[in-house]
Amino acid sequence: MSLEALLQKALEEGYLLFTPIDNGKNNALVARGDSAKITPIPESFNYSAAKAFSKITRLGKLGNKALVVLKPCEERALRELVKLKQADLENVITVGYDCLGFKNGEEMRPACSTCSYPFPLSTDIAYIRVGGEGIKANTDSGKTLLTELGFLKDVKIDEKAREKFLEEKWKNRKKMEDEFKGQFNGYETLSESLEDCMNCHNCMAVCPVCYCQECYFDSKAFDYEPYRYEKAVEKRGVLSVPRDKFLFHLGRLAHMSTLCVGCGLCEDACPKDIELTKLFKIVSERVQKQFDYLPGSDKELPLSTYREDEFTDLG
Amino acid sequence: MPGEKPKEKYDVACLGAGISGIVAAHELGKAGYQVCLISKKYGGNIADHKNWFPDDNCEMCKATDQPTCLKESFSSNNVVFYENSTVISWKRKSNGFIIEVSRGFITDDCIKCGICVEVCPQKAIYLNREWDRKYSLDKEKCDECGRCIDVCPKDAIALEGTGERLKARAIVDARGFDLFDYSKVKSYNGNEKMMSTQEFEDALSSNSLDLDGKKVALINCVGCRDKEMDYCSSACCMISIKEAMKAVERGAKAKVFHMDLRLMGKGYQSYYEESLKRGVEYQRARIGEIDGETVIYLDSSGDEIKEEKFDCIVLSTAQVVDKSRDLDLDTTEAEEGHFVIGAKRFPSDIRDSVISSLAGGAEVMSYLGKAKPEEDREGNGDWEVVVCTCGNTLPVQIPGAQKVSDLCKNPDILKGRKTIVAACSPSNYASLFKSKADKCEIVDIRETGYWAGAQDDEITRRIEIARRKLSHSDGLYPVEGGEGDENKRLLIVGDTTAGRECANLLKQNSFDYDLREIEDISKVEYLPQVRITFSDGSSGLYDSVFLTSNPLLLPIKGKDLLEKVAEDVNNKNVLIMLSEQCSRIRQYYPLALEKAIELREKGANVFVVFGEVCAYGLYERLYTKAREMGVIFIRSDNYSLDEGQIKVRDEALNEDLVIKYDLLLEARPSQGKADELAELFDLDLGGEGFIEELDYKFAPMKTRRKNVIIGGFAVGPCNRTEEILQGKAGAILLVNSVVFQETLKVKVNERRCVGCELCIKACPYGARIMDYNRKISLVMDELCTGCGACITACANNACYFDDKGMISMIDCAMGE
Amino acid sequence: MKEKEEKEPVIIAFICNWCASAAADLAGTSRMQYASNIRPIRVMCSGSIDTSYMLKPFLDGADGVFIGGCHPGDCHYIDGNYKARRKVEEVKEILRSLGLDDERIRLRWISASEGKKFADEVNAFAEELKSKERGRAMP
Repeated sequence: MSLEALLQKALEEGYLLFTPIDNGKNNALVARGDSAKITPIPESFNYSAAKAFSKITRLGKLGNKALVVLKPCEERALRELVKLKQADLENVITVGYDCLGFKNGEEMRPACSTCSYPFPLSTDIAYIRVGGEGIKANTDSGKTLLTELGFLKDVKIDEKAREKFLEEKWKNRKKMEDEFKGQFNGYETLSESLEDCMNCHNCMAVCPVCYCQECYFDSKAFDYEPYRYEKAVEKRGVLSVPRDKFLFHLGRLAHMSTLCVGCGLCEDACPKDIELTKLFKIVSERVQKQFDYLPGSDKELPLSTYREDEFTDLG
Repeated sequence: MPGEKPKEKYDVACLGAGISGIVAAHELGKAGYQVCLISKKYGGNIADHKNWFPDDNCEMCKATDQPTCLKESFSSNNVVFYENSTVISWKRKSNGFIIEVSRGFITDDCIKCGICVEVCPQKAIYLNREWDRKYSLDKEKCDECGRCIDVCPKDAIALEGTGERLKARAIVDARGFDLFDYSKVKSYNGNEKMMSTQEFEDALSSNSLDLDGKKVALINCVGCRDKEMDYCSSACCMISIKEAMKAVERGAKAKVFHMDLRLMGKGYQSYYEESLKRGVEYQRARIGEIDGETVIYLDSSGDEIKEEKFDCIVLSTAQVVDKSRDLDLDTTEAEEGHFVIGAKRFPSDIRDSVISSLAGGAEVMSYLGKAKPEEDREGNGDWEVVVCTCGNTLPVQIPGAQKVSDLCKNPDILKGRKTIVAACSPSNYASLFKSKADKCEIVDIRETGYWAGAQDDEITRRIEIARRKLSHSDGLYPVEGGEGDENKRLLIVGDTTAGRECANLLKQNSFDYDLREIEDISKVEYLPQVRITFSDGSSGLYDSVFLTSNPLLLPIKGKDLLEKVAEDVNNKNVLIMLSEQCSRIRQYYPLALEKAIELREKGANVFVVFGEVCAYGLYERLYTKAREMGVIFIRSDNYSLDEGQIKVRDEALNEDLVIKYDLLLEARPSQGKADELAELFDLDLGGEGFIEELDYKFAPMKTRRKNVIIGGFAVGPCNRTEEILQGKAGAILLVNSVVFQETLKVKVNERRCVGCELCIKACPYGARIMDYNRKISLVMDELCTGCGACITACANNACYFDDKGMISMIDCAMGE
Repeated sequence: MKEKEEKEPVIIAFICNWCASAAADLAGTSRMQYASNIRPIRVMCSGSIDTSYMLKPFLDGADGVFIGGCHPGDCHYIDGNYKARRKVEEVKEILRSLGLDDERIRLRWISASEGKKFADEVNAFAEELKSKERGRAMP
C-alpha cells in the first residue's frame, strides 16, 4: 500500500491534494489524478511546500477538504506559519513521511545530512520508512481518513533502527558544528565567509519562515541621502556599497532565528554557494535552545511571550 | 505644559504636592481649571520612599499622564507649580480665598547658571522639580553665609523670602501629615539602635546597615492608639510587615510587635501570610518600655513579662492627625470651597490618598461648575502658526505657517503674538517661548529624539490637535464619532452606591450619561469608543465606562449587622460576631462599632467576638468609646457557635467562656464577584475576585484601557464611605478619560503589513486591532500610548513611529 | 579595512524614557562624572528596541551597546522590559554563536532614583571595553 495509492484513492473520494509533482520540480494543488505525475516523495527539493501552501491559505481556509504532503521540515515551517496567521490548516489532513534526505547533484544536501528531525512531528498521517514500512495514523482525523479510504493497518516499528538512523545524523551534525567554528567565528572568518554575497536576497525569498512580503532590509529605512554616505566614508576610509550587507544577514538571523527549521533552502538558492545552512541552522538551534523552543511544536512564539522569573542574570 | 506663567487668579489653589496634591492638581488641570500647586517639599512623605508594597515596584509614573518620570519632575496642563514655597495664611473673601504664599528664596530671574550651587557650603541649593528647572533654596540647610548672593549674576537670591498673594476660587488642602517624633516616648529611652521605619528604609537603601544574622524588632502603633492620640494611623501595620520582609531578605530575624493587625485592603492578608512563610515572627503586645536594646512586653498568656534583646529596633511611627477632624467623611468638603484630601483628611496609605484626591477633585468640579474657558478658547482663527526647522535641517512645507530656522536663538519674533509653535521638545524651550509670546501653545515635533514630525502630514496633524484643544471651550476634546450609532459619551454600569454617587455628580455638572445594569449587557466592543450591545437588542456608543458591582455576600447564621434592631434590648445579651478576616468585612467598620454603642446605650449587654478589631484611621475613636461604655470585646478564633449560646476561648484570659445570647448580629463576609464584568469588558481578574487595576497604589480605579474605569466592589473591599468616595472619583476619571492625550502615535504602512497579528498580541492597551477584510492591523490613535511594543514585534517595520527612525538615529550617534 | 583610529571605546546607549532617563538626568544634575564615550539614544521603552537595532552598532564599529530600562515589574508600559530581556538574550546568543564577544551588549535595570548606579554602570562598562579590542566596522 504505497503513498501514491493512498493519494489516488483520496482524490477519487473527492479530496484535493497538495503535493510535489514531476519529481519535485513543483508543488501543486491537484484535483484530478490523471492531470499530473504525483510524486509525494520526490527526488529533488525545489521550493518549500510550507511556503507554497501558505500562498493558498493565507487569506482564509480551504473550502474543500484536502490532503497536504509535507516533509518534516516543511511540516514544522507550516505550523509556524499557521501561528503567524499566514496559513490555515482547517479542513486539511497533513501527511508526513520519514525523510531520507535529498541530494544536490551527487552529494546529500548539508541540511539533510545533519537533520535533527527527519521524522514527522505531529502530522495526521505518517508514512514510516525507517525501522518499518507502512502508513500509520497519528491523530484521530488521520485514523478516520485511513479507515474511510481503507488504508488503516498496523505498522510495526523498530525503534532501535530509528535511533540508529538519528545517531548517524547527529554525528554529521557534530561535524558540521566543528566546521562552523572555523567558518563563522569571530570578525575575520565571518566577513570572509559572507564577503561573496551579492545582495540578491534569494535566501530570504525562498526561506519558508521569512513571511514578510516586503523585507525591512529592503525598505526606505535603508535609503540614505548622499551626505550620509559621504560622512560615513570620511570616518571609515572606505565604504562598500550597498551598505548593510552584513546587517541584512545578521538582522534577518535576529528576526527569524527562533523560527528557523534548518531546511537549507537558503543555501540552495544562493548563487555564490555560501554555506548559509551552517550559519542559520546552527545559530538558530542554539537560540531556540535558550528559549526551550522547537519550531513546529505547540509552544507560543518565544518573542511574543515571557516569564517573569527567567534570565535573572541579565540586568 | 511647562513654563506656565504665574497668574494672579486661579480656579483652584492646591496646597501640598505630595501624591495627593499632585494627583488632584493634575486631574483638575486636565479638566480645564487653572490650578496653582504650592509645595514645600515635592513628593511630600513619599519623596524618599524606596521600598513599595507589595512587590517593590515603583509605578508612580502611572499616577498622572505626564510623559516623564513623576519622581523626577512634575508638569501638567493648566497647572502652575510653585516649589519650595509655603502657605503663610489664607482667608476667605467674597467669592473665593486670598492666599499669602512665601514663594521660595530664589526669584524667577534665575538663569540656572549653577554658580550658587558650587559655592554653597551646606549644599542647600537644589534643582527644582518643575520641568523648566530653576533652582530652589532649602532654608533648613541654609546657614545664611551669603556666598550665593555674592556670586549670583542676576541678584535672584532673596534669603528673606519672596512673598506673593494669589486668589483662588477654591482651596484643596493636601498637606498630608507629619510623622510622630518617637523621642517623645520617654519610656522608650531612645538610643542609636532605635529608628523609625522611614529611617530604616533609608538605611537599607543606602546599604549602611548590615543585617545579616541580626535580630530586628518592629514596634507598631508608636504615637497613636492611646488616651491622648485616639486614632489609628491606618497604613503602618502594612509598612512594618513590608520592612520586616526587607529585613528577612537581608538575613535578619524579624519580629513584629503589634496590637491589632489591620489587614483590611486587597491583598493584605496574602502579603501577611507570605511574610509568615518567610519567617517573620509576630507577637501581640503593646510595648510600654524599651530599655537600651531590650524590648519589654507582656506575653500572650497575660501572666509573664518577657524581655528580649534586639540588634535593631524599628518604630512604626504614626501619622500625626488633626484631632478635630470629623468622623462624617463621605465628602472632602470641610467648608464651602475648602476641600481636604489625602492623609490630612483621614489617616491613609497611598491608595486611599489617591482615591480621596480624585473624589476631592470631583467635588471641586461640582463646586466650581464646568471650567470657564479662557477668553481666547473660542475661535482659533487668530492663532498664528510658527514652525522651526532647526537650522534648516527639517524640510517642511506647512501651508500658512511661518518658517523660521532657529527659534531658540531668536525667540523675540514671538513677541506680542498669539502663536502655535511647532518646535523642539518643550522641556528645553517652553518657558523661553512663553515668556516672549503674548500667548503660546507648543507642539512637540521632536519627541524622544525621533524627528517624529519629519513628515509634513504629522506636523500638520499635531497642529490641528493643538487648534482643537485651544478652541474647545470646556477643555474636553471629543473623540471622533462612530458610524451611525448615537454617541452617548459616558456609561455607568451597576446601580450600586458607587454607581449612583458617580451618576449624581455627573448630573450636577450636566454631563450626559447612562446608568445600566450588568445583566442588560450582552456584548462589548472597543472601537476605540466602547460599543455596547444590550440584551434588548439596542446598542450605545460610549466614550468611556465606569464599572461597579456589588460584592458576593456569603451566608451567615444570625442577623446581618446592617439590619435595624427593632426589638427591645434592655438587659438582653447581644452577641456581635466580627471574627472574619478584616478584608472580608471591611464594610462593617465603623458600622459594627456604631451598632455596639447604640445597643449599649439602649441597655443591652454587648459582647463582640473578633479576630482583629479593624477600626482603622479615625474609627479608632468608636472602639475606644465602645470599650469605655462597657462593651465586652473577646478576641478569639476558637469558638463554637450554637443556637442561643457561644462557647469561646478568650485569648486574653486564656479561659473558656460560655455566653448565652438573645440576639446574634453578624458581619456578613463578602468576596469580590467581578468575573462577569471582567469577561465582558476584557479585563484581567486579579486575586480574591476583584478586577486588576493599572496600579494598586498610584493608579487605583484605572485599567490598561483608557476608557474603562472601575470602582466599588469590582475593585476591592471598601466600606460605605469609601464606596461613596470611589463613586465621586469615578466621575472625574470618566470626564477626564475623554481628554485626548498627545503621545507619539504608531503609524501603519498598509502595504507592508501581512496581518501576522504579532503587534496585536504585543500591545498592552488593546490599541491595535485587525481589519480582517484587508488582513492588516490598524492603530486606534486614541488608545495608543507610544510605547513601541508593537513596532518591535513587527519584523518588517510595517508599523513605525518614523520611517527612517532608528537606523538614522544610530548612524547619527555613531558620528556618521 | 583601514579607518580613522578611535582611541576611546564607542558605546551606543538605548535609554528608556522613564526610569533610566530619570536616572541619567539625576546623574547629570548631581554632577556625577560618567564616561563621555556614551552616546545616548532615548527610546520610549526598552521593549521598543528591535534586535536589529542592537546588532547594527556593532556592524558599524561600535565597541558596546548599553540598554537601560526599568526594573522588571516597574515598566510604565506594563511588560515591555520583560520582552526586552528576551530580545537581549537572543542577541547575546547570536553573538556567542558567532564567536563575537557577548559581553559587549549590556542590559541594566535602573530605577529613577539610581543616578549613581547609572553613572557607575556606564563607567564600569567603558572601563571594560577599553581593555578589549576596538570595534571594527564590517566592510
